[in-house]
Amino acid sequence: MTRARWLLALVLALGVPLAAHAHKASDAYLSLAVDGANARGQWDIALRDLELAVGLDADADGRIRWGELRARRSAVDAYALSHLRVTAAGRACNARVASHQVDAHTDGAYAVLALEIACPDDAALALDYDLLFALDPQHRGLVRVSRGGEIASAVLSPAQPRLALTRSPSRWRAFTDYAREGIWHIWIGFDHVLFLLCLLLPAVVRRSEGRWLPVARGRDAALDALRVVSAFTLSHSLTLALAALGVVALPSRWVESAIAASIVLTALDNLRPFLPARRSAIAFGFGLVHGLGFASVLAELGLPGGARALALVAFNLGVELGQLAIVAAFLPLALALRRSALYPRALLAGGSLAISALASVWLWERALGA
Amino acid sequence: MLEVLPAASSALARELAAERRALAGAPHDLARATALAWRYVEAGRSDGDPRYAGLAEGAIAPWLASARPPAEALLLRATLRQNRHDFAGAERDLAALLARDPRNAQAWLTRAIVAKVRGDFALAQASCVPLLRLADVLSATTCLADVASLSGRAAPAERALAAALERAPAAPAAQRQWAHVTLAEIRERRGDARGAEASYQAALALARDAYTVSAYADFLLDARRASDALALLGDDRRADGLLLRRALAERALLAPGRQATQRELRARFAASRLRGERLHAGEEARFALAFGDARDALCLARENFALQREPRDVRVLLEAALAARDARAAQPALELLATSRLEDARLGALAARVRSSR
Repeated sequence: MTRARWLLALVLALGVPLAAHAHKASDAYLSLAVDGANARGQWDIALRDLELAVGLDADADGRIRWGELRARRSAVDAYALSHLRVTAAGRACNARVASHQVDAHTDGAYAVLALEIACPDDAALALDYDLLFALDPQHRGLVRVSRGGEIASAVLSPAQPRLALTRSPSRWRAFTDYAREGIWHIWIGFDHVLFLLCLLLPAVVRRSEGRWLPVARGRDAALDALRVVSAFTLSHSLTLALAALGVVALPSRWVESAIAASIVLTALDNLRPFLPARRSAIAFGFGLVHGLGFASVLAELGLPGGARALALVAFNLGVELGQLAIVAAFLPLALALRRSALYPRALLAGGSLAISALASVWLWERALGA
Repeated sequence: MLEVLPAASSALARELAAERRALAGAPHDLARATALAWRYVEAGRSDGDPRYAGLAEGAIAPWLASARPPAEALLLRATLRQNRHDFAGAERDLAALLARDPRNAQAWLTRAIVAKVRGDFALAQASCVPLLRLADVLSATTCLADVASLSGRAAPAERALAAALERAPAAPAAQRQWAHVTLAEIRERRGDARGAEASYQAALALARDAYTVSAYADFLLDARRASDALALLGDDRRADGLLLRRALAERALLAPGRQATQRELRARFAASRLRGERLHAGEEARFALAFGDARDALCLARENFALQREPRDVRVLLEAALAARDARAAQPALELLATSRLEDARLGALAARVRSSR
């Protein structure tokens, strides 16, 4: 052992020098906000650490200036991104640095990299981090990931370089979310409710010699309603699935106009039947158009990449539940009132007339874009 | 300008960078790697910056990854672990190293220091003894006197150390400085304020390091000489330990800017906690005792005492227990005082107050 080494040992023996009275060891701060298959984030890395890793102090005067940092920007990005691997269920996500800033921390200036991360889907996300570890095993990556109101944080080190997030929100949670959206959509989607009413209004009466007579047995009326609603459900589920999965794509203006037209025609048919088909066939045919309308709502919500089919089924189920609630509210009422003289005139004729007038306005607006 | 690089002189930074590049070109050169690692350790000491400890570890990391790291790498890792307060890890490395190389004086010395800090005075003494054969008399005497003064033999320890210092006027400054600081602490514990101050000043005349400045500043604060403490601390705010003493002195003097100092310390403790580390639990306990909540201070002091058991650790636990009116929490400190027969006028009085408050 050299004499100098021995003296150094003595000095160190005093216990002071390094960490006990430290400024601060090397940390980088990485925060990510995950939204579906994408994430935005911020990564604060000390300029001193970057100087060590990629060299910033071009003129070697012991000072780092804006120009020096700017000149090394792509090297900084390349270094940082090559030491952070983001994966979704084992498949690599694409990360890029969108912009640079500089911020002050307790121990000096930090480069702040704004990150944009795009994953193939939103399956279980994992971070593998090894920034600076090869140079400084005491470096720590202080990571914070927020996703859907949940926050995960970790101190990443050479011994623990990985942060794996459990799938979140849970599949059940996604399922109930999409089902709720489906129910909500049918309730606030006025046009679907009116179309359904147009289909249901004549279910408790039958036409005989130009006049409307009440259906004698309530059970027959309920069965008729069931047939009509089932046909509507079958057809709109079909087109909803085809459109949501991208098999069919039509301009939304056409779809919305066709929906308005379907309401006008069905309502007018209630006044004086002229459509050359049975009610259930009409419900099926026009249901195809309504399904495309549901799909455009689902497109706005966005299907979660890892659970597309699940979300589609959940949304559809929600639509059916919402629809069932409307039927359950309307049908007993109509059955109770069907023998009243008012029913054909006030409810069936008056209601259908009003609905056709309203839907004509929609058709006008939607078709002409007014 | 965004950042001033920390190396005291950029010449040092350039030198270290050049050595690092040379090592990168010869990644299997253990001698080169350990030389660079010790230089980092040294730079960390002069700069007080823990980043250098990480770089030192990084330089020898490839050898540490092997099942049987070479002796040089083990010694370095033990030193780095001691500095990180990973005392158990440091002791493992040192035991492994000494089993292989029982003539390694530096390993014996480091083991003595680690054992002393943990309150294992028997192991500390046993680790000082080989230094009588393997190192110089002054170093061996300082090591032994330090331990003896903590285990009921303060008076002979003081005499022996003072005599050894007198007999070695030509010893290297670092050795003499260590002896002076140790003597100052022994004298302070024995209640000899005048002698202690003379020894602190003798140590500082040889070299100004954070440990001596902290210890002397504590001495001055206890003597209600806050303005002297502030003058001693100077302008350096970088080290947390020194900033703590500054905060205490500023509070005593109601100095302007004292709130800013407290805020800064609080932020630094928080930043360190974010890393999942509690290197500063003892100092944080003192901070909480002075500026925060007594219950928090007691929690921190107990956490600290589980790791470190030097007189200052005993003291902060006793004070926190008194402040929090929780005498039972002080039990481990009272036990250490009883079994070690540690002689310290101030600690004795504190312990008596704790016992009478039960």
